[in-house]
Amino acid sequence: MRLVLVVLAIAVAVVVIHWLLSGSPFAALGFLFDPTGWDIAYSILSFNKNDPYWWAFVVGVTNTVTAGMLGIAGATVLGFVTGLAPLAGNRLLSDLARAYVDIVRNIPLILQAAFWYGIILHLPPARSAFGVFGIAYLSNRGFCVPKFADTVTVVGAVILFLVLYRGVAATWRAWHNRQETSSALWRRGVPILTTLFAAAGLTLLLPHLPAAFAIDVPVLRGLNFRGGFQIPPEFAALATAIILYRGAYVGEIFRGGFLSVPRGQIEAAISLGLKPWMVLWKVRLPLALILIVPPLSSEYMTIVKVTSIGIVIGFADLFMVSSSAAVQTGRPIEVILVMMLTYLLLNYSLSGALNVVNRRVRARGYD
Amino acid sequence: MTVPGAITKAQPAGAVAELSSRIRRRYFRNPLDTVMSATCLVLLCLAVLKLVRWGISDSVWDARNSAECMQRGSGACWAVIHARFRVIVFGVYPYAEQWRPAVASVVLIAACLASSLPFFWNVRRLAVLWGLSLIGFLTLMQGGVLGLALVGEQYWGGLALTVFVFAAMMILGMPIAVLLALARHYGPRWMRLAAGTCIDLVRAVPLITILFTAWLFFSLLFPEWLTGGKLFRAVLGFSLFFACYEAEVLRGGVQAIGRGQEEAAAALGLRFWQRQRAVILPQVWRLCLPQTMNLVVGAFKDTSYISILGFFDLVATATAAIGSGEWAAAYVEVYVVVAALYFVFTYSLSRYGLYLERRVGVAQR
Repeated sequence: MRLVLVVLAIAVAVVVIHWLLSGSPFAALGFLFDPTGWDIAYSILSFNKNDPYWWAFVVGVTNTVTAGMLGIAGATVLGFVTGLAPLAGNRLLSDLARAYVDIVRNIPLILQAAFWYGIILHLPPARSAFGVFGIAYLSNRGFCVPKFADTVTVVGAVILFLVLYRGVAATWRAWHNRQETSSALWRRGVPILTTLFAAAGLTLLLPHLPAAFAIDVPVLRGLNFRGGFQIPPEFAALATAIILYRGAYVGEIFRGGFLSVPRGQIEAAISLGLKPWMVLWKVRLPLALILIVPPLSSEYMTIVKVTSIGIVIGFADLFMVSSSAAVQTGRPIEVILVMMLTYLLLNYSLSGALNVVNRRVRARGYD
Repeated sequence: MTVPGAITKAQPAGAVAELSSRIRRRYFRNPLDTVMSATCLVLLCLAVLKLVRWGISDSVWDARNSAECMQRGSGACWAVIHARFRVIVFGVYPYAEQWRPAVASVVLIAACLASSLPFFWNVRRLAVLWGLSLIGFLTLMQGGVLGLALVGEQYWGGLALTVFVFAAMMILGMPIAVLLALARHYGPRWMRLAAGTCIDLVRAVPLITILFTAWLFFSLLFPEWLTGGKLFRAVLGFSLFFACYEAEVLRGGVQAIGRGQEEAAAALGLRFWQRQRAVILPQVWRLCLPQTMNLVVGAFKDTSYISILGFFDLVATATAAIGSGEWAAAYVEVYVVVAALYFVFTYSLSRYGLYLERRVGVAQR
């Protein structure tokens, strides 16, 4: 509801402003189809200077989303470990975690990004790169890590597999649960159709899977690496900075959540004879998640938003692409409109997805 | 049964024994604990040793460029701080006039410190304090009067700029936040909707897009004399951003106070603004203190976004200090020093927040 209002408000404002400035109420968004004439240094999707502006925005969004997802995943893992540290019952360990959080949280992210960018640019050249177990390399060209030979196919196959798995489970339930009120056709038809489609897709993909799942390990050839996934210095520095910085915040969220679980629950779990990891995984974490998920959701949205500092070190995210576009087209208002709407869309879709997670977590009862 | 002699006997022999028993209780309770402590201790010692070697024993304090540093020692090249100190702290402010930003930053920091004293905790005193110190700051920085040479805002930089943006953001942002929160809570429907839309919109997009928009839009929409300089527009953007986050915090507080207070104050015959000033807002302020302090600390760090707009705040001056080829290799030292500067401010802000929480006592309510 509010999203619609916001979008309408911006659209009306832009039309009015444009009308006041140029006399024509409808902003020419036609520039979106003009070739840009400039290049984007690094992008997940391919881009060259003959591509139109709308594609530049898509490329920027993809970069933003990729950096955001990487930041979210990394910060969650780091934050989980940091939040766990005080639970180990070791004073020194929890003091170390505390020190990390206090130091990292009190230094601006932009400074940290500039710092890591400097560090990566001063790493040894590719010839004498740091190897990590011979499969990944750190050099002044950024990070080079192994990847699947055909990532798109792999992702597709994984999604199809999950759909198939859920579809089979849903079909099973539809057949054995007769208390449902909706019509049998709807109740049984949808799961069966989904299952069939997923199965058909997987069968089609099957012959390509062995080749797609082959691991592509980078190797040093001459002065550079061949194969693998190349993460350029800008991306690597941005991701490192965001993971370390926001990881401290996520750590605080996890710590608060873990500590808020009543002692009685933990003691009951222990006295049932559960192993320590089971106490953590089956009792403490699920109970803590009820408190953790809401602040974690807004933290995730923050992470996606702070990828916009990529411009400091030259990572072409949505904001950097937009600011170039604003200057190059001489149509700042339209560009800002597109940029804002895109950020809103990103933000609201993420928050929608996280709300679903929140409902699932709370549905476990207990509160 | 207590025997007086037994008590004295049971007490540890001295401070050393007590310390050792405390250490044992804290760090070596059981085998697992001992292993963890030992691992942490070894790692910590290695890290500290390496840091001391790098930062103190192998460091170079006197050199003309980073190449010379590397010849003289393998550690930190602190000579860069000595050589580029003025650039880091004052940016591109004219060299001969750099006493002015120095005094100006002292004025602003002193005002910040003063406003943390309970004596200044009322609107009138704060207004006088900040009015005077801002006039003093701007006069010193800008010049053009009292025989001071005129220095445009594009030359302002370093610590003075960072502290100024922070202070201005607080001074402008807090009143806007209060107005937004009140509008969203008490206003008629259209006002609630407008305030809500504004807050949600700003909170959904990154800070830099707000700054960028403020920078472009204000110059397109309003005549030059109204929009002021680029710096003013940036500060407006910052304030709006801060205000929207703070407004949500305050609104939470207003909701938590409940209608009873409001109705009791109304029954006493207080008008809306009197109620807010004397009854509601003081309680809201106390209730929202922890989250507000988090936002304030965040705001200090967020001032670094102004470097993206091309201003020479501390982050940009750090980059400028190593930008010249001769010190390019000493980037870690410069970043460490600037990070330490930020740390001093943000850490003392957050410690002050903790002190405030205890003092105004959320728990005492």
